[in-house]
Amino acid sequence: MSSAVLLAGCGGGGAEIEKTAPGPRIEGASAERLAGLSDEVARRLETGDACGAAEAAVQLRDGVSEAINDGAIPTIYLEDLSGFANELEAQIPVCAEKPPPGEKKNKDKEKENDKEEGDD
Amino acid sequence: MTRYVTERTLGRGGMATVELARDEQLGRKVAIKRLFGSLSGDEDFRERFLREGRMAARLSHPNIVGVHDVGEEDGVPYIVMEHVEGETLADLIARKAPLDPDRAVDLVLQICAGLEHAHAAGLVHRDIKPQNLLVRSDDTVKIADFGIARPLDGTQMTQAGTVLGTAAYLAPEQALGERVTGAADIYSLGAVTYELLAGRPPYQFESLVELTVKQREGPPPPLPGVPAELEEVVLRCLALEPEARPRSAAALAHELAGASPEPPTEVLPEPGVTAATEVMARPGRTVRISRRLQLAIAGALLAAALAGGLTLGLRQEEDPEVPPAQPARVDTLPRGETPAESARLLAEWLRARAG
Repeated sequence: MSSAVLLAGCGGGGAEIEKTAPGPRIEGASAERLAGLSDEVARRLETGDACGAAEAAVQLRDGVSEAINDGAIPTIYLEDLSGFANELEAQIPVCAEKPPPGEKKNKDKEKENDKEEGDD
Repeated sequence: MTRYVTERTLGRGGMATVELARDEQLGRKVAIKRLFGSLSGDEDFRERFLREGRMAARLSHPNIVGVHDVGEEDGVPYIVMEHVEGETLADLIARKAPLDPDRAVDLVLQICAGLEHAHAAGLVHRDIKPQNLLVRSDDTVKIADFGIARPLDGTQMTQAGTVLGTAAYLAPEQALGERVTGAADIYSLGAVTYELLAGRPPYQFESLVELTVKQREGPPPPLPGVPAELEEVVLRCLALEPEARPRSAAALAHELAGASPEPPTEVLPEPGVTAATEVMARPGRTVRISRRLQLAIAGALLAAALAGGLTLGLRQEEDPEVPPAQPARVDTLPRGETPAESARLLAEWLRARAG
Protein backbone atom coordinates (compact mmCIF):
# COMPACT_ATOMS: atom_id res chain seq x y z
CA MET A 1 0.00 0.00 0.00
CA SER A 2 1.47 3.34 -0.94
CA SER A 3 0.91 6.67 0.70
CA ALA A 4 2.06 10.23 0.53
CA VAL A 5 5.81 9.93 0.68
CA LEU A 6 8.25 12.73 1.20
CA LEU A 7 11.42 12.12 -0.72
CA ALA A 8 14.44 14.20 0.05
CA GLY A 9 15.91 15.61 -3.11
CA CYS A 10 19.42 14.40 -3.83
CA GLY A 11 21.98 17.09 -4.47
CA GLY A 12 19.47 19.63 -5.59
CA GLY A 13 18.90 20.98 -2.14
CA GLY A 14 15.15 20.75 -2.63
CA ALA A 15 12.50 18.22 -1.82
CA GLU A 16 10.31 16.36 -4.23
CA ILE A 17 6.86 15.30 -3.22
CA GLU A 18 5.62 12.18 -4.89
CA LYS A 19 1.89 11.92 -4.55
CA THR A 20 0.50 8.46 -4.77
CA ALA A 21 -2.82 7.99 -3.12
CA PRO A 22 -3.46 5.22 -0.65
CA GLY A 23 -6.12 2.61 -1.16
CA PRO A 24 -7.12 0.12 -3.82
CA ARG A 25 -5.68 0.53 -7.31
CA ILE A 26 -7.54 1.20 -10.52
CA GLU A 27 -6.31 -0.93 -13.40
CA GLY A 28 -3.47 1.13 -14.91
CA ALA A 29 -4.53 1.38 -18.54
CA SER A 30 -8.12 2.21 -17.62
CA ALA A 31 -7.02 4.86 -15.13
CA GLU A 32 -4.80 6.50 -17.71
CA ARG A 33 -7.47 6.39 -20.42
CA LEU A 34 -10.07 7.94 -18.13
CA ALA A 35 -7.58 10.53 -16.90
CA GLY A 36 -6.82 11.42 -20.52
CA LEU A 37 -10.53 11.87 -21.23
CA SER A 38 -10.91 13.97 -18.13
CA ASP A 39 -7.97 16.15 -19.19
CA GLU A 40 -9.62 16.47 -22.58
CA VAL A 41 -12.83 17.73 -20.97
CA ALA A 42 -10.80 20.29 -19.02
CA ARG A 43 -8.78 21.36 -22.07
CA ARG A 44 -11.91 21.85 -24.18
CA LEU A 45 -13.57 23.85 -21.45
CA GLU A 46 -10.50 26.00 -20.95
CA THR A 47 -10.46 26.84 -24.65
CA GLY A 48 -14.17 27.65 -24.68
CA ASP A 49 -15.14 24.61 -26.74
CA ALA A 50 -18.33 23.63 -24.93
CA CYS A 51 -19.43 21.23 -27.68
CA GLY A 52 -16.12 19.41 -27.62
CA ALA A 53 -16.19 19.34 -23.83
CA ALA A 54 -19.70 17.89 -23.83
CA GLU A 55 -18.61 15.21 -26.27
CA ALA A 56 -15.54 14.37 -24.19
CA ALA A 57 -17.65 14.29 -21.03
CA VAL A 58 -20.00 11.75 -22.62
CA GLN A 59 -16.98 9.66 -23.62
CA LEU A 60 -15.69 9.93 -20.09
CA ARG A 61 -19.01 8.85 -18.62
CA ASP A 62 -19.27 5.91 -21.01
CA GLY A 63 -15.63 5.08 -20.35
CA VAL A 64 -16.29 4.95 -16.63
CA SER A 65 -19.25 2.61 -17.15
CA GLU A 66 -17.17 0.44 -19.43
CA ALA A 67 -14.31 0.31 -16.93
CA ILE A 68 -16.76 -0.63 -14.19
CA ASN A 69 -18.21 -3.39 -16.33
CA ASP A 70 -14.71 -4.62 -17.11
CA GLY A 71 -13.99 -4.84 -13.40
CA ALA A 72 -11.18 -2.29 -13.68
CA ILE A 73 -12.57 -0.06 -10.92
CA PRO A 74 -12.45 -1.30 -7.32
CA THR A 75 -15.93 -1.60 -5.87
CA ILE A 76 -15.31 1.06 -3.26
CA TYR A 77 -14.84 3.69 -5.97
CA LEU A 78 -17.87 2.71 -8.08
CA GLU A 79 -20.47 5.06 -6.70
CA ASP A 80 -18.25 8.07 -6.33
CA LEU A 81 -16.56 7.75 -9.68
CA SER A 82 -19.70 7.11 -11.72
CA GLY A 83 -21.50 9.85 -9.81
CA PHE A 84 -18.66 12.26 -10.51
CA ALA A 85 -18.67 11.44 -14.23
CA ASN A 86 -22.43 11.95 -14.43
CA GLU A 87 -22.17 15.17 -12.46
CA LEU A 88 -19.36 16.50 -14.64
CA GLU A 89 -21.33 15.80 -17.79
CA ALA A 90 -24.30 17.67 -16.36
CA GLN A 91 -22.13 20.66 -15.49
CA ILE A 92 -20.84 21.29 -18.99
CA PRO A 93 -22.29 24.57 -20.30
CA VAL A 94 -24.94 24.26 -22.96
CA CYS A 95 -23.33 23.70 -26.30
CA ALA A 96 -24.61 25.91 -29.13
CA GLU A 97 -24.90 23.49 -32.02
CA LYS A 98 -22.93 24.48 -35.09
CA PRO A 99 -22.62 22.52 -38.28
CA PRO A 100 -19.76 20.08 -37.76
CA PRO A 101 -16.64 21.73 -39.18
CA GLY A 102 -15.77 18.74 -41.33
CA GLU A 103 -19.19 18.45 -42.93
CA LYS A 104 -18.50 20.36 -46.14
CA LYS A 105 -15.15 18.71 -46.51
CA ASN A 106 -16.72 15.29 -46.03
CA LYS A 107 -19.39 16.02 -48.59
CA ASP A 108 -16.71 17.05 -51.04
CA LYS A 109 -14.87 13.86 -50.28
CA GLU A 110 -18.01 11.80 -50.77
CA LYS A 111 -18.46 13.42 -54.15
CA GLU A 112 -14.88 12.58 -54.97
CA ASN A 113 -15.40 9.00 -53.90
CA ASP A 114 -18.58 8.75 -55.97
CA LYS A 115 -16.65 10.01 -58.90
CA GLU A 116 -13.88 7.50 -58.29
CA GLU A 117 -16.42 4.68 -57.93
CA GLY A 118 -18.08 5.87 -61.12
CA ASP A 119 -14.76 5.81 -62.88
CA ASP A 120 -14.25 2.13 -62.03
CA MET B 1 -37.54 -9.59 -21.62
CA THR B 2 -40.04 -9.07 -24.40
CA ARG B 3 -42.65 -8.22 -21.80
CA TYR B 4 -40.77 -5.01 -20.95
CA VAL B 5 -39.87 -2.54 -23.66
CA THR B 6 -37.23 -0.06 -22.59
CA GLU B 7 -38.00 3.55 -23.43
CA ARG B 8 -34.99 5.36 -22.02
CA THR B 9 -32.37 5.35 -19.31
CA LEU B 10 -33.48 7.22 -16.23
CA GLY B 11 -30.22 7.13 -14.37
CA ARG B 12 -26.95 5.44 -13.75
CA GLY B 13 -25.74 4.76 -10.26
CA GLY B 14 -22.67 3.15 -8.87
CA MET B 15 -24.07 -0.36 -9.14
CA ALA B 16 -26.85 -0.33 -11.66
CA THR B 17 -28.69 1.48 -14.37
CA VAL B 18 -32.35 2.33 -14.04
CA GLU B 19 -34.47 2.33 -17.18
CA LEU B 20 -37.95 3.53 -17.86
CA ALA B 21 -39.81 0.74 -19.62
CA ARG B 22 -43.28 -0.26 -20.64
CA ASP B 23 -44.86 -3.45 -19.36
CA GLU B 24 -46.54 -4.69 -22.51
CA GLN B 25 -48.67 -7.24 -20.67
CA LEU B 26 -50.19 -4.85 -18.18
CA GLY B 27 -49.86 -1.69 -20.24
CA ARG B 28 -48.12 0.40 -17.64
CA LYS B 29 -44.82 2.17 -17.14
CA VAL B 30 -42.25 0.52 -14.93
CA ALA B 31 -38.70 1.22 -13.79
CA ILE B 32 -36.15 -1.55 -14.33
CA LYS B 33 -32.98 -1.67 -12.32
CA ARG B 34 -30.19 -3.74 -13.86
CA LEU B 35 -26.92 -4.52 -12.18
CA PHE B 36 -23.69 -3.56 -13.87
CA GLY B 37 -21.98 -6.50 -15.54
CA SER B 38 -19.04 -6.51 -13.15
CA LEU B 39 -21.31 -6.93 -10.15
CA SER B 40 -23.40 -9.55 -11.91
CA GLY B 41 -20.29 -11.69 -12.08
CA ASP B 42 -20.16 -11.88 -8.32
CA GLU B 43 -22.20 -14.98 -7.59
CA ASP B 44 -22.84 -14.15 -3.93
CA PHE B 45 -23.89 -10.62 -4.66
CA ARG B 46 -26.15 -11.66 -7.52
CA GLU B 47 -27.88 -14.19 -5.30
CA ARG B 48 -28.31 -11.64 -2.53
CA PHE B 49 -29.66 -9.05 -4.95
CA LEU B 50 -32.27 -11.47 -6.24
CA ARG B 51 -33.16 -12.83 -2.81
CA GLU B 52 -33.65 -9.40 -1.34
CA GLY B 53 -35.51 -8.25 -4.42
CA ARG B 54 -37.95 -11.09 -3.83
CA MET B 55 -38.29 -10.12 -0.19
CA ALA B 56 -38.96 -6.52 -1.15
CA ALA B 57 -41.58 -7.75 -3.60
CA ARG B 58 -43.55 -9.04 -0.62
CA LEU B 59 -44.02 -5.50 0.64
CA SER B 60 -47.17 -3.80 -0.46
CA HIS B 61 -47.66 -0.34 0.97
CA PRO B 62 -48.62 3.05 -0.48
CA ASN B 63 -45.42 4.59 0.89
CA ILE B 64 -43.05 2.01 -0.55
CA VAL B 65 -42.07 1.74 -4.20
CA GLY B 66 -43.54 -1.60 -5.24
CA VAL B 67 -41.39 -4.36 -6.69
CA HIS B 68 -43.33 -6.11 -9.47
CA ASP B 69 -40.89 -8.64 -10.78
CA VAL B 70 -37.40 -9.99 -10.27
CA GLY B 71 -35.38 -11.99 -12.74
CA GLU B 72 -32.25 -12.51 -14.75
CA GLU B 73 -31.48 -11.91 -18.38
CA ASP B 74 -28.20 -13.15 -19.84
CA GLY B 75 -26.88 -13.57 -16.33
CA VAL B 76 -27.68 -9.98 -15.37
CA PRO B 77 -30.22 -9.70 -12.55
CA TYR B 78 -32.91 -7.09 -12.75
CA ILE B 79 -35.72 -5.77 -10.63
CA VAL B 80 -38.89 -4.36 -12.12
CA MET B 81 -40.36 -1.65 -9.95
CA GLU B 82 -43.27 0.71 -9.84
CA HIS B 83 -42.47 3.86 -11.79
CA VAL B 84 -43.02 6.96 -9.66
CA GLU B 85 -43.60 10.24 -11.45
CA GLY B 86 -42.16 13.04 -9.38
CA GLU B 87 -38.89 14.05 -7.82
CA THR B 88 -36.59 12.84 -5.08
CA LEU B 89 -36.70 14.38 -1.66
CA ALA B 90 -33.17 15.58 -2.39
CA ASP B 91 -34.55 17.64 -5.28
CA LEU B 92 -37.31 19.00 -3.06
CA ILE B 93 -34.78 19.92 -0.38
CA ALA B 94 -32.61 21.66 -2.94
CA ARG B 95 -35.57 23.71 -4.12
CA LYS B 96 -37.54 24.37 -0.96
CA ALA B 97 -35.69 23.60 2.25
CA PRO B 98 -36.00 24.56 4.99
CA LEU B 99 -39.57 23.37 4.82
CA ASP B 100 -42.43 24.58 6.91
CA PRO B 101 -42.56 22.22 9.95
CA ASP B 102 -46.12 21.10 9.15
CA ARG B 103 -45.21 20.04 5.65
CA ALA B 104 -42.01 18.38 6.83
CA VAL B 105 -43.93 16.39 9.42
CA ASP B 106 -46.55 15.37 6.86
CA LEU B 107 -43.83 14.00 4.60
CA VAL B 108 -41.96 12.25 7.41
CA LEU B 109 -45.12 10.62 8.77
CA GLN B 110 -45.57 8.91 5.43
CA ILE B 111 -42.02 7.62 5.54
CA CYS B 112 -42.70 6.36 9.06
CA ALA B 113 -45.71 4.47 7.76
CA GLY B 114 -43.67 2.79 5.04
CA LEU B 115 -40.83 1.97 7.43
CA GLU B 116 -43.17 0.53 10.04
CA HIS B 117 -44.70 -1.77 7.45
CA ALA B 118 -41.30 -2.98 6.30
CA HIS B 119 -39.86 -3.38 9.78
CA ALA B 120 -42.89 -5.44 10.76
CA ALA B 121 -42.07 -7.68 7.79
CA GLY B 122 -38.50 -7.99 9.02
CA LEU B 123 -36.86 -5.74 6.44
CA VAL B 124 -34.50 -2.94 7.34
CA HIS B 125 -33.81 -0.42 4.60
CA ARG B 126 -30.23 0.49 5.64
CA ASP B 127 -29.95 3.40 3.23
CA ILE B 128 -32.67 5.92 4.01
CA LYS B 129 -31.55 9.20 2.46
CA PRO B 130 -33.25 11.95 0.43
CA GLN B 131 -32.13 10.38 -2.84
CA ASN B 132 -34.05 7.19 -1.99
CA LEU B 133 -37.27 8.97 -1.11
CA LEU B 134 -39.54 9.83 -4.01
CA VAL B 135 -42.14 12.56 -3.81
CA ARG B 136 -45.07 12.66 -6.19
CA SER B 137 -46.73 15.90 -7.18
CA ASP B 138 -49.57 15.21 -4.71
CA ASP B 139 -46.93 15.07 -1.90
CA THR B 140 -47.15 11.30 -1.51
CA VAL B 141 -43.77 9.97 -0.45
CA LYS B 142 -42.49 6.55 -1.46
CA ILE B 143 -39.43 4.79 -0.16
CA ALA B 144 -37.33 3.32 -2.95
CA ASP B 145 -34.78 0.50 -2.96
CA PHE B 146 -36.17 -1.41 -0.05
CA GLY B 147 -34.12 -4.40 0.90
CA ILE B 148 -32.06 -4.26 -2.23
CA ALA B 149 -28.54 -5.44 -1.65
CA ARG B 150 -25.73 -2.93 -1.79
CA PRO B 151 -22.45 -3.88 -3.43
CA LEU B 152 -20.79 -3.59 -0.06
CA ASP B 153 -21.97 -2.97 3.39
CA GLY B 154 -22.40 0.79 3.82
CA THR B 155 -19.78 0.71 6.52
CA GLN B 156 -17.05 -0.55 4.31
CA MET B 157 -17.85 1.94 1.63
CA THR B 158 -17.77 4.77 4.09
CA GLN B 159 -14.52 3.62 5.64
CA ALA B 160 -12.95 3.67 2.25
CA GLY B 161 -14.19 7.21 1.96
CA THR B 162 -16.24 7.04 -1.18
CA VAL B 163 -19.73 7.87 -0.08
CA LEU B 164 -19.59 10.77 2.30
CA GLY B 165 -22.92 11.94 0.96
CA THR B 166 -24.48 8.76 2.26
CA ALA B 167 -22.52 8.87 5.50
CA ALA B 168 -24.45 11.95 6.59
CA TYR B 169 -27.50 9.73 7.06
CA LEU B 170 -25.82 6.59 8.35
CA ALA B 171 -26.45 5.63 11.95
CA PRO B 172 -23.27 5.58 14.06
CA GLU B 173 -23.55 1.85 14.71
CA GLN B 174 -24.02 1.25 11.00
CA ALA B 175 -20.91 3.26 10.19
CA LEU B 176 -19.05 1.10 12.67
CA GLY B 177 -20.15 -2.12 11.05
CA GLU B 178 -22.29 -3.29 13.91
CA ARG B 179 -25.50 -5.23 13.57
CA VAL B 180 -28.11 -3.02 11.96
CA THR B 181 -31.69 -2.97 13.17
CA GLY B 182 -34.68 -0.79 12.48
CA ALA B 183 -33.12 1.78 14.83
CA ALA B 184 -30.59 2.58 12.10
CA ASP B 185 -33.45 3.53 9.80
CA ILE B 186 -34.88 5.72 12.57
CA TYR B 187 -31.53 7.54 12.84
CA SER B 188 -31.39 8.03 9.08
CA LEU B 189 -34.94 9.30 9.02
CA GLY B 190 -34.06 11.68 11.84
CA ALA B 191 -31.18 13.01 9.75
CA VAL B 192 -33.50 13.45 6.77
CA THR B 193 -36.06 15.24 8.96
CA TYR B 194 -33.36 17.51 10.34
CA GLU B 195 -32.34 18.42 6.80
CA LEU B 196 -35.94 19.12 5.79
CA LEU B 197 -36.23 21.54 8.70
CA ALA B 198 -32.76 23.08 8.58
CA GLY B 199 -31.93 22.90 4.88
CA ARG B 200 -28.70 21.03 5.65
CA PRO B 201 -27.77 17.66 7.18
CA PRO B 202 -27.19 17.48 10.95
CA TYR B 203 -23.41 17.48 10.79
CA GLN B 204 -21.05 19.29 8.46
CA PHE B 205 -17.92 17.20 7.97
CA GLU B 206 -15.16 16.44 5.53
CA SER B 207 -14.17 13.04 6.75
CA LEU B 208 -15.64 10.05 8.46
CA VAL B 209 -13.40 10.70 11.43
CA GLU B 210 -14.75 14.24 11.75
CA LEU B 211 -18.31 12.94 11.50
CA THR B 212 -17.69 10.29 14.12
CA VAL B 213 -16.13 12.81 16.48
CA LYS B 214 -19.03 15.25 16.03
CA GLN B 215 -21.57 12.50 16.64
CA ARG B 216 -19.79 11.63 19.88
CA GLU B 217 -19.54 15.24 21.00
CA GLY B 218 -23.27 15.69 21.18
CA PRO B 219 -26.36 16.66 19.25
CA PRO B 220 -26.16 18.75 16.11
CA PRO B 221 -26.86 22.51 16.17
CA PRO B 222 -30.39 23.51 17.21
CA LEU B 223 -33.09 23.94 14.61
CA PRO B 224 -34.03 27.62 14.50
CA GLY B 225 -37.70 28.38 13.99
CA VAL B 226 -38.77 24.84 14.80
CA PRO B 227 -41.08 24.16 17.76
CA ALA B 228 -39.06 22.89 20.72
CA GLU B 229 -41.05 19.65 21.02
CA LEU B 230 -40.52 18.82 17.40
CA GLU B 231 -36.83 19.62 17.64
CA GLU B 232 -36.52 17.34 20.64
CA VAL B 233 -38.06 14.41 18.77
CA VAL B 234 -35.75 14.93 15.80
CA LEU B 235 -32.66 15.14 18.00
CA ARG B 236 -33.67 11.98 19.84
CA CYS B 237 -33.74 10.15 16.52
CA LEU B 238 -30.11 11.18 16.18
CA ALA B 239 -29.07 9.72 19.53
CA LEU B 240 -25.79 7.86 19.43
CA GLU B 241 -27.17 4.80 21.19
CA PRO B 242 -29.89 3.00 19.21
CA GLU B 243 -31.95 2.31 22.33
CA ALA B 244 -32.18 6.04 23.04
CA ARG B 245 -34.08 6.65 19.79
CA PRO B 246 -37.82 6.31 19.37
CA ARG B 247 -38.40 2.59 19.60
CA SER B 248 -40.15 2.15 16.29
CA ALA B 249 -41.27 4.05 13.24
CA ALA B 250 -44.79 3.98 14.60
CA ALA B 251 -43.57 5.44 17.91
CA LEU B 252 -41.74 8.15 16.02
CA ALA B 253 -44.90 8.92 14.04
CA HIS B 254 -46.85 9.37 17.26
CA GLU B 255 -44.22 11.62 18.75
CA LEU B 256 -43.98 13.72 15.60
CA ALA B 257 -47.73 14.01 15.36
CA GLY B 258 -47.87 15.15 18.97
CA ALA B 259 -45.07 17.64 18.45
CA SER B 260 -46.35 19.09 15.21
CA PRO B 261 -47.88 22.59 15.40
CA GLU B 262 -50.81 21.29 13.36
CA PRO B 263 -51.31 17.66 14.42
CA PRO B 264 -52.25 15.55 11.41
CA THR B 265 -55.59 13.81 11.54
CA GLU B 266 -54.24 10.35 10.92
CA VAL B 267 -51.21 8.66 12.37
CA LEU B 268 -50.06 5.10 12.68
CA PRO B 269 -51.73 2.67 15.09
CA GLU B 270 -50.80 3.16 18.74
CA PRO B 271 -47.57 1.29 19.42
CA GLY B 272 -46.33 0.04 22.76
CA VAL B 273 -43.78 2.74 23.43
CA THR B 274 -44.07 3.47 27.10
CA ALA B 275 -40.53 2.37 27.86
CA ALA B 276 -39.00 4.33 25.03
CA THR B 277 -39.12 7.71 26.69
CA GLU B 278 -37.44 6.37 29.81
CA VAL B 279 -34.13 5.84 28.10
CA MET B 280 -34.12 8.74 25.72
CA ALA B 281 -31.31 11.25 25.95
CA ARG B 282 -32.34 14.88 26.20
CA PRO B 283 -31.14 17.27 23.56
CA GLY B 284 -28.29 19.49 24.60
CA ARG B 285 -26.97 16.90 27.00
CA THR B 286 -23.75 15.14 26.16
CA VAL B 287 -24.65 11.60 25.30
CA ARG B 288 -22.67 9.04 27.20
CA ILE B 289 -21.49 6.24 25.06
CA SER B 290 -20.84 2.74 26.18
CA ARG B 291 -17.42 1.16 26.45
CA ARG B 292 -18.51 -1.23 23.72
CA LEU B 293 -19.28 1.63 21.37
CA GLN B 294 -16.02 3.38 22.19
CA LEU B 295 -14.11 0.23 21.36
CA ALA B 296 -16.09 -0.18 18.20
CA ILE B 297 -15.27 3.38 17.13
CA ALA B 298 -11.60 2.78 17.77
CA GLY B 299 -11.78 -0.47 15.83
CA ALA B 300 -13.54 1.15 12.94
CA LEU B 301 -10.99 3.95 12.74
CA LEU B 302 -8.20 1.42 12.71
CA ALA B 303 -9.94 -0.62 10.05
CA ALA B 304 -10.44 2.49 7.99
CA ALA B 305 -6.77 3.36 8.30
CA LEU B 306 -5.80 -0.15 7.24
CA ALA B 307 -8.13 0.12 4.29
CA GLY B 308 -6.04 3.06 3.20
CA GLY B 309 -8.82 5.58 3.34
CA LEU B 310 -7.51 7.44 6.36
CA THR B 311 -4.20 8.60 7.63
CA LEU B 312 -4.22 8.69 11.37
CA GLY B 313 -2.41 11.52 13.08
CA LEU B 314 0.42 9.40 14.41
CA ARG B 315 3.76 11.07 14.96
CA GLN B 316 6.55 9.87 12.79
CA GLU B 317 9.16 9.85 15.53
CA GLU B 318 7.05 7.40 17.49
CA ASP B 319 7.28 4.89 14.70
CA PRO B 320 9.55 5.44 11.74
CA GLU B 321 7.40 3.10 9.64
CA VAL B 322 4.41 5.36 9.98
CA PRO B 323 4.05 8.01 7.27
CA PRO B 324 4.30 11.67 8.28
CA ALA B 325 1.32 13.01 10.16
CA GLN B 326 -1.53 14.07 7.92
CA PRO B 327 -4.85 15.59 8.79
CA ALA B 328 -7.32 12.78 9.30
CA ARG B 329 -9.26 12.75 6.13
CA VAL B 330 -11.32 10.37 4.09
CA ASP B 331 -10.11 10.06 0.58
CA THR B 332 -12.92 11.19 -1.68
CA LEU B 333 -13.14 12.63 -5.15
CA PRO B 334 -12.24 16.32 -5.03
CA ARG B 335 -14.43 18.92 -6.69
CA GLY B 336 -13.13 22.10 -8.26
CA GLU B 337 -14.81 25.45 -8.42
CA THR B 338 -15.41 25.08 -12.14
CA PRO B 339 -16.15 22.00 -14.27
CA ALA B 340 -12.73 22.39 -15.92
CA GLU B 341 -11.03 22.38 -12.55
CA SER B 342 -13.09 19.37 -11.48
CA ALA B 343 -12.05 17.54 -14.63
CA ARG B 344 -8.36 18.28 -13.96
CA LEU B 345 -8.73 17.10 -10.38
CA LEU B 346 -10.43 13.92 -11.56
CA ALA B 347 -7.53 13.23 -13.92
CA GLU B 348 -5.06 13.66 -11.06
CA TRP B 349 -7.20 11.51 -8.79
CA LEU B 350 -7.27 8.71 -11.35
CA ARG B 351 -3.54 8.83 -12.01
CA ALA B 352 -2.79 8.78 -8.29
CA ARG B 353 -4.71 5.50 -8.04
CA ALA B 354 -3.48 3.80 -11.18
CA GLY B 355 -2.15 0.39 -10.34
